[in-house]
Order: sequence, then C-alpha cells, then structure tokens
Amino acid sequence: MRKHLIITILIAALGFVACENTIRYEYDPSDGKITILGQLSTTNSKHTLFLSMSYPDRIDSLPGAKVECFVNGARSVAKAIPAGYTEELVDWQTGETQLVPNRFPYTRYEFEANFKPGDKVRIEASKGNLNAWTELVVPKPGTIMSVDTATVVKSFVYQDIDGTDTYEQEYLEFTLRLRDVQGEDNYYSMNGNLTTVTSLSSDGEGETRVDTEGPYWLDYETFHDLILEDGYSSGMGELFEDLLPVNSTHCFSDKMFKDSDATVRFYIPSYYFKSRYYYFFEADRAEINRFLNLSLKSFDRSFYNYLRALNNMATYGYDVSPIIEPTMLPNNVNGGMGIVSIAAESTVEMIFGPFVYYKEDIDYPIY
Amino acid sequence: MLLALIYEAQAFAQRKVTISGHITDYDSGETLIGAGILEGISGTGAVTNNFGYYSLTLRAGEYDFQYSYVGYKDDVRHIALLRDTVINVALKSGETLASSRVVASKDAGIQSTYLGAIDVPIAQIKNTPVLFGEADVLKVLQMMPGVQGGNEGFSGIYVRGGGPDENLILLDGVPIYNVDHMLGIFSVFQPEAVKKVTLYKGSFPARYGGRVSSIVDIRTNDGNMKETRGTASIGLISDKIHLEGPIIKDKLSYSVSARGMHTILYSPFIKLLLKDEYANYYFYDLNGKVTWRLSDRDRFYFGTYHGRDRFLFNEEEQGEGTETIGLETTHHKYKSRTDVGVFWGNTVGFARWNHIYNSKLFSNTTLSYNRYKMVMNAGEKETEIVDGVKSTNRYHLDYRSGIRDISLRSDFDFNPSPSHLVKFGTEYTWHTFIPERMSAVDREVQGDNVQIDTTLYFTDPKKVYRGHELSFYAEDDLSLGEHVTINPGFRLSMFNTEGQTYWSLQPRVSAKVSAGNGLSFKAGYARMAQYVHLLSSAQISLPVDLWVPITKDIRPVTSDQFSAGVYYDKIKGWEFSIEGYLKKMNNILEYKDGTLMLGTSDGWENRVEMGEGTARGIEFLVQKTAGKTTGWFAYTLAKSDRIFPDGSINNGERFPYKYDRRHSIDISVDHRFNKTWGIDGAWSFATGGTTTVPVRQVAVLHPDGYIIDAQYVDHRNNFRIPPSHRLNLGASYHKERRRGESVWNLSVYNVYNQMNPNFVFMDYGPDYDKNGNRIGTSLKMKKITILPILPSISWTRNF
Repeated sequence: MRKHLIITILIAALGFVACENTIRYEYDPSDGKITILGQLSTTNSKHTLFLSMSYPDRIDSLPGAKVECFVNGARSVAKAIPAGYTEELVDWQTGETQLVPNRFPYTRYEFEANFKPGDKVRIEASKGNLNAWTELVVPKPGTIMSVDTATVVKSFVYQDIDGTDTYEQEYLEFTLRLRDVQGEDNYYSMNGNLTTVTSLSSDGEGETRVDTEGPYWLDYETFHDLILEDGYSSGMGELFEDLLPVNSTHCFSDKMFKDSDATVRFYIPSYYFKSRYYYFFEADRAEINRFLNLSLKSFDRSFYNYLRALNNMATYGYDVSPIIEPTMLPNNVNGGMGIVSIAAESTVEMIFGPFVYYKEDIDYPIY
Repeated sequence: MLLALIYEAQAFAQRKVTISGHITDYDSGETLIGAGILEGISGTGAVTNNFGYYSLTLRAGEYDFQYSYVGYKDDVRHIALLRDTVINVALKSGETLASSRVVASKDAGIQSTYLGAIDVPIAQIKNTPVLFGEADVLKVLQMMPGVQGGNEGFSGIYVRGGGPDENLILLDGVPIYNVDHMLGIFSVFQPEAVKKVTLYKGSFPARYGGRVSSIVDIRTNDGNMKETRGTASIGLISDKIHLEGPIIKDKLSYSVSARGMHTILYSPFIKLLLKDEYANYYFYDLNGKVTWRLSDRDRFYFGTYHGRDRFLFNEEEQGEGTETIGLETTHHKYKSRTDVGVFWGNTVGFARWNHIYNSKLFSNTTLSYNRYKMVMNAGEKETEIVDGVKSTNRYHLDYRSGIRDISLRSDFDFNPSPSHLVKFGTEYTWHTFIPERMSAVDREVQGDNVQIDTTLYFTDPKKVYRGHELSFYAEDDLSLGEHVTINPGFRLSMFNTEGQTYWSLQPRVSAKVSAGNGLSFKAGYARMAQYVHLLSSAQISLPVDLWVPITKDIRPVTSDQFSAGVYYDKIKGWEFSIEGYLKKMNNILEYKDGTLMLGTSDGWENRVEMGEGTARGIEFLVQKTAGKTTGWFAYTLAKSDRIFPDGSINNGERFPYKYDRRHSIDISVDHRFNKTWGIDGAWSFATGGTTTVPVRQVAVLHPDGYIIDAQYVDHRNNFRIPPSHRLNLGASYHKERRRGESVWNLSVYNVYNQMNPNFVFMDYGPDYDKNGNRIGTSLKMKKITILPILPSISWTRNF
C-alpha cells in the first residue's frame, strides 16, 4: 500500500511534463562470455556444472564446450548432459497448451571427482576461441557437534482495533552446536534437505513399492538468531518485512564465533515432519519415513558474497532498479563469468518416522 | 606640573577606547550584515556581525570614520573618541557600489579570511530566472563554483563532492532538515523574507559544525522599524505575500511572509467538480519574526517558520446489480471509498537575545525548537450487501516519522583590539529521532460478527533514538600587520547516543596575505564532524527519507579539507578568484549493494558501509558586483570518488561518486536598462553524473538448484550520464505606482528545450522483423526528462 502511494505521488509529480527519449548506448551483441556455475561438494563424487553464454542482451545455452576439471593436476573430463525435459506453456488467450523444449539457457555438464580439504581444483571450459577457468582450494569443514530438537509453539501477537490478537504455530526447534575452523576467516551456510521415502504395500501381495521424494531444500525461521541471520532481517512479523531482504540462502560468517563454538537455533514448522498431503493410494498400508539432512557447508569468501547478493536479488528482483543500489554478483571465473564453489560439508542425518497408515483407518486424503 | 601634563597627555594618547554600535538601513531600520566602518588614516576597520553590530578599538583621539555598505551611500563622520562610544548609523541606499573597501573581519567574500565563503546577493537570488519563475535560494547556490545540483532542475545541493545530507542549512541559526517542496523542485525559503545568504564550503568558521560539506547560513528580515511595507505576488505555481512594519516605531517590528501553491485555493472547487475522485497536492510556507529593540544594549528576536507539503487523494466507487444462476437470483450492492493523506514539513521557532556587555563584548543567546514531521494516513472501506446481508472491510494505515531538536546556544564576539576579533561560544542540542511509527489494521465484518482477519503491523510507539550534542568553539580573526590575517580556531564537540559518547576535536585555520594592488592569497584547513545521516535511496527528495543519528556501531563522519586560493579585486566592481581544494572524508556512509533505504530505518546500520571519500577540484569565479550589469561566471573542475575496503560495495574497489561531474560552468547575468526594464539570463552546463547500468545478462544459480536470469553489473556507477545544459531567460517590467511599484516578470526555463536527463535506465525489449516475427532482444538506454521548456509569468506588487 505504502509503496503504491509513493509511486502515485511520484507519477503525479513527475508525469506532469516528463518526456522519454533514447540516448546513445553502444554495445556489441556478439560480445559473448562463457558463464560457469557450479556448487560442488566434498560429499559427492558426481558434480554438475551449468554453462551458458552471457551477452549484453541475452543468455544462450552452451552445448559442445570442452569442460575439464583438474584436482591437484589430475584431469577429469565433463560430459554435456542433454536438457532432457520439456515444459508446458499455456497460452492464456487461447487456452492451448504446448510442450516446448527446456527454455532455461544453460547446458549441464557432469563429471566425477573426489575433493578433500586442501585440494587445488582447476575447472576449465572452452569453445572456439573462448576460454574460461577458475581455480579453487577446497576449504576445511566446520563441525556440527550436536543437534537437539524440541517441539515449541510460537505465538504471534498482532495489534487489532479492539486490542491485541494472537495466533499460534507449532515448530520443531533445532539447536545446533557448531565449531569453527581454527585460525582463518570462514564462511558457512546451514541447510536442511528433506527426503521422504514411502513404502506402499497391499495385503496378499508380497511386493512393496517404494517412492522417494526429494531431497527438497527446507526453508526455516530464525527468530532473531544473530549468527544465522548474519545481519539480515528475521523476516517474521517485522514492520517492513516485504521491503527488507532476508537471509534466504542461509549463509553466515564466523565473525561472531571466530575460532570457537557457537550455538545456533532455527525453526521448521512441525507439519513437515509429521505428515503432509498424501493422496492415498491403491495400497492398504503406507509407511512413511522422513530423512532430514542437516548440512553445514564451508566455502570461500567470494561464494559467501555471491549468496548475499542472491539474498538481495530474491527480495528486490533480478533486474537493476533506479531506486535500489544495484546488486553486484561476484565472479570467480577468469576470462568468463560465473561462480564455482566447492563446499566442505559436515552433515547430520535425522530420521522422522516411521509413520504407518492403514487404508481403513484414515480419511481421504491424509493431512 | 609640566611633567605631569606631559605624562597625562601621553597616557591619554596610549589609552584605548572602543567605538561600537549598530548599522542599519535608513529607510527601514533593518540591520545591515557585513557593513563596514573604516578609519581612513590607519586603515583599520570593522564590519557588522549577523545582527548589524560592530565594534572597533583604537587609541583615544579624533578620527574620521567612514561607514559603508554595498548599494548604500557612504556616511563619513568626524568623531572625537575620548571614551568608549556608541554610534548607531543609518545608511541611505542609492549608490550601487561602496566607495571604500573595509579590510576587516568579514565573514565571507574576497575580503574575508575564510576560503570558499560566498555572500550571495539577495537581489541576484530574486532576479535569476529559474523554474516556474519561482526565485529560489538553493537553485542560485547551485550556480556557485563547487556546488552542484543533484537531479536536473531539483533544488538539492552537492558541495565539493559531498552528499545532500552533508549540508547544514540554517534559517536564522536554526538547522532545517527538510529544505524541499514538491519532491525537491522548490526549496522552502521565501526570498522575500530573506536578508542574507552565506555559503561556506572551504575553511569553515569554528562557530559552525555538525556537517562535513557546507554551511548555508540564511538570515531573514527583522522587519521595518519605520513604516509598513509589503509585497504581494501571483505566479504560475504559487502566490506570495510579505508584510513588515513597526508595532512601536524604532522599538518593535514584525515581518511576516506567506507562500502557498494555488491549489490550496482551488481545493474546494476541485472537490465540487470531482465528486467521485479527488486528488490535490499543495505546499505552503509561513515565516514570522518580531524584533524588539529594548535598548542599545539589549535586543530580542522571536521567529518562526512553518512549512508543509500536503497530498490528498480520495476515490469513491459504487455499483449495484442482480445475478441469476439457475433458479437463484441474488442482488448485490457495492460501495468503496479510499482516502489517502500525506503531509510533511518543518516547524521552527526561536527566541534570541542580543546583549552588549560592554563595547568590546557582544553576546547572542538563542533558544530554538525545530521539528520535522511526516504523517501518512490511508484508509479504505468496502461495503457489500448481498441479499440484505452486509459485509464490510476496513483497512487503515497510519505511518509517521520525524525529528525534534531543542537547542540552546550562546555566542560571544569579543573585540579587545583592532587586530583581534575573538568569537567563542557553546551549543547544546537535544535530538529526538522518530524514524518511523506505523500501524496498519484490516477489519472484516459480516453481519454482526467481527471476522478474521485482523492482520497487521504495528511498531513500538516508544521506538525513538535520542542524541545529546554539545559543542564548544573559539576562533580569533587576528591581524598580523597590515597585510596578513590569520584565523585560528577549534571546535570541540560531543555526541552521546545509546550509551556511547563520541568526542571530536576539530581544528580550523585560515590565513590571508594581501600582496597589494588588490591581489591576495589564502590558504586554510578545516576538520568537520557529522552525527546525523539521511537514509534515502532515491535521487529526489521524498517525504519518507529518514534522518537517523549515528549509533554505537556507526562512527561519526569526519572530513579534512585543505584549500588555497588567489584573489584579485583591484578593478572596481569586479572580483576574481581561483580556489583549489582537497577533501578527504572518513567513515562516510554508502548503501551496500542491493540495498533499499525507502522509508525504513530498521537495521539500517547493517545496510550501510563506512568508507572513505575523496574530492578535489579547482574553482574559478568572476563576479561583477556593481553597475547596470551584474552577475558571475563560474567554472569548476572536480573529481570525487569513494572506496569501501570492506568489499561489500563494488567489491572493495574505488568508484566514482554518483555526482562526480568533471566540468561545470555557470553564467548568470542581470542587466538593468533603466528603472523600468531589466533582463536576466542564466546558462548552466555540467558534465553528467554517474549511474549504474547492467552490462550483460547472466544466469544465477541458487543453492536450492534453481537457475534464474539476472542483469549483471560490473561496477557501481559504471555509466556516465550525458551532460546537461540549459539557458533560462527572464525579463522584468517595473512600473512606479503612487505607493511602491508593480513588477511583471516573464521567464522561460530551458529556452532551447534541451532534453536533459533526470533518470536513465536500460530498456530491454523484443525485436521484430517486418513480418512481426521476433528476431531477438533489443537493448536501449533511455532517459527521462522532467523539465523541458517551461515559460512562466508572475506579477508582483510592492507597496
């Protein structure tokens, strides 16, 4: 409402006599640069890079590039993976639906390599006379020393004409003890990924069908945890929550617990772990297990800055606006664009379940 | 006996006595600031201070004193100065040029010891043609060397590489926080109420502090002590009236001015005409001052300023209908009303006491109150009746922010000898900042039941920031022989907020060497400190811009400025100056990449970064101060940049300041053909400032696996906006009336309709071939021009 009002005032005042004209701006539409994007990890041996061509006015995919990874000098060649899927586009005027090829302007490249802290990694991409490369040192991992959980109910108070009003929400509270890597500046992110495994079986049939969903990135609330918010708004119930960026990438630095331990706390709504919409099913019995993977990733400063830039963009948009100081995306790719990170991870897996349901006991659908 | 007489005579000759008093305008009794008294043989002299008071100490004897002021006839008096004497002098206007130069402690201009101190002639302010024919103090200041306007046509000022919040703008000694109307198109100062405007941008006098880039000291009329005079004016945008006169002749006077946009008057008619939808915007200013000359020793001044911008909007909609679905028919009735009101502005009040303890010690004590307030109210009510069942939805929003300062200040002028003018004093200000308070309520009612959803925000009504600012200063304008003056001084200030106390010692020094034949050299150094900031992202002044104090994490901004200059004023009526400066700013604030500052101070410390700024430049000024043709030519060569080593801005690399303009040229000419006709012209040129534009399109990868297109920016302020230039012309026709005169003024802003850019942006759009098939994406840089050619006319009646 308020933003609309400001815009109204501006338009009323400025639209009075304003004129729009084009001014001279020269650019070369063929000035392309290879963009390499990748978020690699010490816990995986299969890695994916996303390559594209960046131009002043567009982005194109980049098939047919030569992509190589060198770990301490040992080479591993990446293979381009076809996009492999289509998406549905609906024409809102005619209502017609059509399948179109993946419109995302990148090409995936996969390669295998194992990284360990201290490794020197070089990634190169080339096509024609264009070359781009980045060099990284695999960081040391921080440590998740302990995890405690508790079910808590949070009350939210609102001001009403007749006084105050409240509503309540049940959360699972995660309290983690983290240990910083000693003797250096460190940058982390704390993420949770949820995988749901459902085993379906029917009476008289020996076979069990197993469905796996995920892993899905879980967002969480921090409610003023100074370390995890890393200077951002907590994003809940604040005055201008839609105007302030939140730490949606969950990155933070060790400046508040350098060379020591810290306790951090975050909250995920309980319903994620209890059950969820599940549209039952031909089977007579369902056993649901949820696997929460908590991961403390450590990475370098440039990727930390990149995540902070993404926090701003997620709030204010991905285009430059005249009223916001523009976000500058950090690059660590020489001769090209993009950012590649290698995270050293410390993980904890938690299992919620099994939740067992029988067809005759439940209403349809389960909630 | 003879020896005793000789001794007595010697003692008498050695004895020093002081001549002091006020210099005023003969016709109005208005005190004259910067008027001079000169003793011709020794060449010693003095000038009046901001209250028209002078003091000159000499050996006892007989002297011829010459009193002078630009635009007034000299008054020469032979006085036998045997003891401390008070001589009040009233000068008659008539001459366009003072016949003598007083080499004394002037506060501004070529003859003062300070560098970068300019008195802007009020006549020039009134005559210079500007937008909509509205004479504007700040827009004329923009034409001075080293001063730039921010956005083309707007009244913001950027001095020697500094930001808009780094200027201390004083109205009768009281700081004004919001100096703009109409988003910055006009400033709040009414030229009719203004007596003197002085700009300091180099070696600042120690009595000023609190901002790092400039001081603009605006003094208003005391009021005519002799007879009632006035001015009424009708312009394209606003109407004005100014009245001043005696309440008790030569004892008590008043001065009142009012200005308002026409739309105040039209408001009721607009409401009548537009029943369903009404929108109106207006601003107004009210200035008032009462001066009481209790005695030769005591004078009291009571002043006020009140200004507001107000935007109103309301809209009503209603409808009725019947809908049949199958066998069921329902009757709907719908009504909605939206009301929006926003107002913002300053209220200032002060009480001042001038007291002369003795002929050498003058004091000025001021108690002032200053408040900036912004209030926004918005309400929406929707009522729907479906088959007799009424449901209502009400939404109400209240947002307000403001600042309140209460200040007590005492200044002393001590004149122990002709070679010393010591100024010292102290000031305490209690700041209360209310960055924002907001409540928003949504209430849905169906039938008799209050339904969900009562969402909403409210802020802690006790959320205020307080600051205590205390300062002490002392300076001495010291003459070392006939040719050298030096002004050493210091300012010690303290700011306390959130339990943290910051101290700042600010040394100031400036020196002037007169080489004879009108040639002089000056050099100076000044350290300044600033304890408040303006949070604003937009390039124009918005009512939701917020002033906040420094905190325990954000240190005060400081600046160190070195300047030097050469000056020449041998040719009668002409002044030439060239000044160079180097300014280093520390703890300067800039918004981090990807930061929006609009309307909220929440966690503002986390959204700014402290860094360093550098500004350097050379300023050249030629002024013609007398004759039928007056005006100036100003050229500035400047460079200004910023660096934030932390890396959160521009990856820690140095980048040009937003208003880094390499070249600026301003020419202002005012010519009087005769008593009836006059013409004025002003031409300005400035290299474009900088802005940030995307240089390519890139994909970004989120940690959750999503890939999104984004615009890529390589550096902050990576694009230089095209230069701006414009010519403004005006002509005035004066006709004498039985009492006073009437003046018609025709002016044209931007005569040759130059499309100067106010905003630039990158426009991406699809490109199509002749058959309408999309063939790619086009990229264009576009500019928005707000102010093309704009003629205006005004009529003024002086009586």
